Amino acid sequence: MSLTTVGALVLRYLYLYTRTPIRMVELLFWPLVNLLVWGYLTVFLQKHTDDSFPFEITFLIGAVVLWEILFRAQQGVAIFFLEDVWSRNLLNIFAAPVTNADYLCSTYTVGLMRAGVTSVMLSIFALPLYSFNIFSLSWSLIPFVFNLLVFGWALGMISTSLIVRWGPAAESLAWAVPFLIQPFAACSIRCRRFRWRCNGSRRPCPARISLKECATD
Amino acid sequence: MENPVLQVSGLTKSFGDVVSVNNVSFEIRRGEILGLLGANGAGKTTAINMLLGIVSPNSGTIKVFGKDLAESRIEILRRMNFCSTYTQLPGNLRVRQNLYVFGKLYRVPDLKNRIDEVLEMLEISHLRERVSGHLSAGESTRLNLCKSLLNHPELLLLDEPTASLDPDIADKVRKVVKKIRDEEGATILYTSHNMRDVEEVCDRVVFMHKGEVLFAGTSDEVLEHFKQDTLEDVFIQVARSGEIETQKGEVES
Repeated sequence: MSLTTVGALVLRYLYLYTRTPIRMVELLFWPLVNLLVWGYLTVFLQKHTDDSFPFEITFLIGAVVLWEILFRAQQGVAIFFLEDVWSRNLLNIFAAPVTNADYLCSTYTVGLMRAGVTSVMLSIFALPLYSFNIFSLSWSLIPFVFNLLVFGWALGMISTSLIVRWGPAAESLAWAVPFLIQPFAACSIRCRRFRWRCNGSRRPCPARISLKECATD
Repeated sequence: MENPVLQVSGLTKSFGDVVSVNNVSFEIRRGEILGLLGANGAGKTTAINMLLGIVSPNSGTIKVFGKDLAESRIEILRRMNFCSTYTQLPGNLRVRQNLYVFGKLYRVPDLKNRIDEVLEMLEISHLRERVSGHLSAGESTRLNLCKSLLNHPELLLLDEPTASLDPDIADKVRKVVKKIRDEEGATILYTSHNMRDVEEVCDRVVFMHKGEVLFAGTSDEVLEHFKQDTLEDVFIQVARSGEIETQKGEVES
């Protein structure tokens, strides 16, 4: 694997985003809308339900942030490939001295960058809006995020493989594949498990407190 | 005698029941321009994809610069380049940005100057800061050609480089192709449906039909073999004949 080659491929992607800032909508706007929808739903349910309502609902905000890490990592890999298909550039890339490892590494790098931009933005917005601090998990957040990134990259490769197998007609799979596993995704299941470990407490708890408590429980 | 730059022997590729390339053999000597001709579906593009190592052959060997392509693909690709009318560079990037990225991929030294040189050579320096997607078909083809010349390729694969060009620009492109052969000693494999291109540019031609090599030789030898006056007549005769007896096996190069 060559860092120069990976750098050149990533540079091409950066050029793409600086040339067409409207693409940032995908990275910033939709995730933010997602956060607002689930965040205000959480706030609403907390304010308008009695103590019998399951508290794991407060973890929806955390789930949104963590889900975006996985989803954007997957998108980085799949969309990177699709950009070459759409621009009819794939043959030029693979006619150049680019190994599969170079190409995959550059897609992972782009996935990491996309996940980073989106998750940092969501974390920043979640703090003042919902008193939700994802960083309250401290160091234990690192392996969790790494896990999500690796899984996102793997899903991206699966999406890409399916597109290669079935052709451009299957390109909607680049968006659909992650949602096949969303109901079982670690970012929501894990949060619920955190919640269940909170001794079944019935007191209302803002997401910030509960996530921290659960992590140290 | 000097080893050929490209040596293809017994190349066969099938997709399911369809045999796209069947036992094709030919070679190109250093500084030679070889025309690979054939009607649509003759197997030219599949052959080029195999020469780039993108498609794996079912059987046969490809040696480039004396090395086996399957074993030294990346090392070989650094010394060659490719241009096709049917590919494009990313339309959202500027001309300069596209060439910079590919220059980095090919590790071109003194890249900024080289970009200026190739743009000048193809007479599109004024498009340097233009968005690639806004170029006309002819400008886009010339940009592709610029990309293919960035690394001073020793072997250049040109897939219908003049297909979308007007006669004036096509003539300029043919002159550039001959210039890089004469001045840089590049070896060129040239596919085209334009027989004027082939007559003007190619030293030898290989005629393919239904995945097999029909005949290989100079333009005069081809005309004599098929008893026609022009290569275009040969092309039409080959394309319309369903029962041409193919010359099996190794073709004299």
